[in-house]
Amino acid sequence: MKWLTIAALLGILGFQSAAGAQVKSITINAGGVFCMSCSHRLEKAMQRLECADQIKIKMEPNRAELTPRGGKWVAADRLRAAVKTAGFKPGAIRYTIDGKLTQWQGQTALQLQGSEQLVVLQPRGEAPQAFDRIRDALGRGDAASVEIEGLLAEEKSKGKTPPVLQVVRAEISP
Amino acid sequence: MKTTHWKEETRTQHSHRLSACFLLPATLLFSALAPGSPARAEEPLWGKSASTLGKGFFNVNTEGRMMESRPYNHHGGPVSLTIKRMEAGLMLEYGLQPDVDLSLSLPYFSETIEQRFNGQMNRDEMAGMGEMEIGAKWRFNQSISDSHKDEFALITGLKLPTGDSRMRDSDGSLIDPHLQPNSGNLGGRIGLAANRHSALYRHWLSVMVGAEAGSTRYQRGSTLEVDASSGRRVRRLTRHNQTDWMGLVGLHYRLMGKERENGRALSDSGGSLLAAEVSLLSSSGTRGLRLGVLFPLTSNLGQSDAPLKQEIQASFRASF
Repeated sequence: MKWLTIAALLGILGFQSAAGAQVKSITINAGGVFCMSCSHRLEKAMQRLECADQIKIKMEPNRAELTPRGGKWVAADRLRAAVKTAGFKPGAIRYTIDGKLTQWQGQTALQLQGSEQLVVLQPRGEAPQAFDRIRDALGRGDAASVEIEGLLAEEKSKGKTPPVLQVVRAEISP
Repeated sequence: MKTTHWKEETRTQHSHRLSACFLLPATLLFSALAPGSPARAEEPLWGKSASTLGKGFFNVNTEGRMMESRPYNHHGGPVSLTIKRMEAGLMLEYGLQPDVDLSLSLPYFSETIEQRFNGQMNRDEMAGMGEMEIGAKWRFNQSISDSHKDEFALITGLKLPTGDSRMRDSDGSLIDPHLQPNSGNLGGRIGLAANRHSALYRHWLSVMVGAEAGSTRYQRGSTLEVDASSGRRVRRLTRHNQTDWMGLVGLHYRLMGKERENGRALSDSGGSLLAAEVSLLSSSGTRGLRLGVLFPLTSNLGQSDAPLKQEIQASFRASF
């Protein structure tokens, strides 16, 4: 009975940790994965990242989906290096993140839950309406939390400048 | 060949069959029981691949090989020889850099030389460690597009004079140096490999040249090996854990220079061989298995060398 209670508590804690995660998942495309051993090698390379909690490899297009440990932000350079080390070509990186809307130097941004990490948001050509809804919600100031799925814009992800995501999907909770 | 005591053929045939029947399954079993992990199985059994493992990856390759020669009149004389050889090999590969691999191969062999003369037969059996090889591969070019991946690599190998090169026959006499399984000399190989991989097809091409350091006792002739293989996947890969099956055909050319024995060239040594390969490769989850048969198409070998009848190879690969 004691073990059951501990297991139940751990389960609840684990669930809360996942539910409150600021970075829910990160997906990185990998070029050159044309066989099962390549696919497993990619999986192994991602598993070697200490920040990775769970890894799923998906095909067509070939990509690794990573759940970061503790929901923490993982720098794109680390992901690209892991893919390169395994002998593949890193491609687009997609983050699904949770946080509060804010502004950074006059730009729409998201502050990750329970963290100082800021992410600048930009519209994506094929889905501008998602970004428009975010900007409207920021203007009204009535969004309690927002879940964003966005593609990393390569050129602004380094240095002290916050990374920039092009918004593909947004879920706004009042 | 040295003087031998000839025996009735029927008295020794049975035990040879027993050893052949035992060794091949044992080798395959050894291969199949190797540790299971992501396997780089989608590569040809004959020839080299330009692909590298990736930095920090460790690959264990176990293989079993059975080669059988056609009976041939050694040096054109009255004695007919048939050589049967089994090999169990272990190859360890390590990815030093994303584009540099190091390798070490440790072969073990069991060889039988059957001599037939006037309806009588003598059989010499030898077994032991073969010639180790330390190798390095540098993948100097890789280009990846959505539809395919091209790779080019420089491959080198250093053959060490390991194993016994002074084996004796059933009468205790030294076997001729050119019939010894190990040469006892240092050797080197260098060559280029190229691959093209796509979702359904794989193509491999490699060219290797090899030479041995000389010794007054024996020196193998220089070699040229050209290997070309193409494989087609039975089904596209759509799931990370699906079983991958690939059929493979290949052409393999070997050109061998003259051997030197006791300071003089063996005039009837060397020649060329063109052989065809049919293989089946499979990998499922963490295991990969390869099975292939090589059979000669044309053979132009001198009478001191055994003409290939067939070669069967099985391999199991795992990486960590």
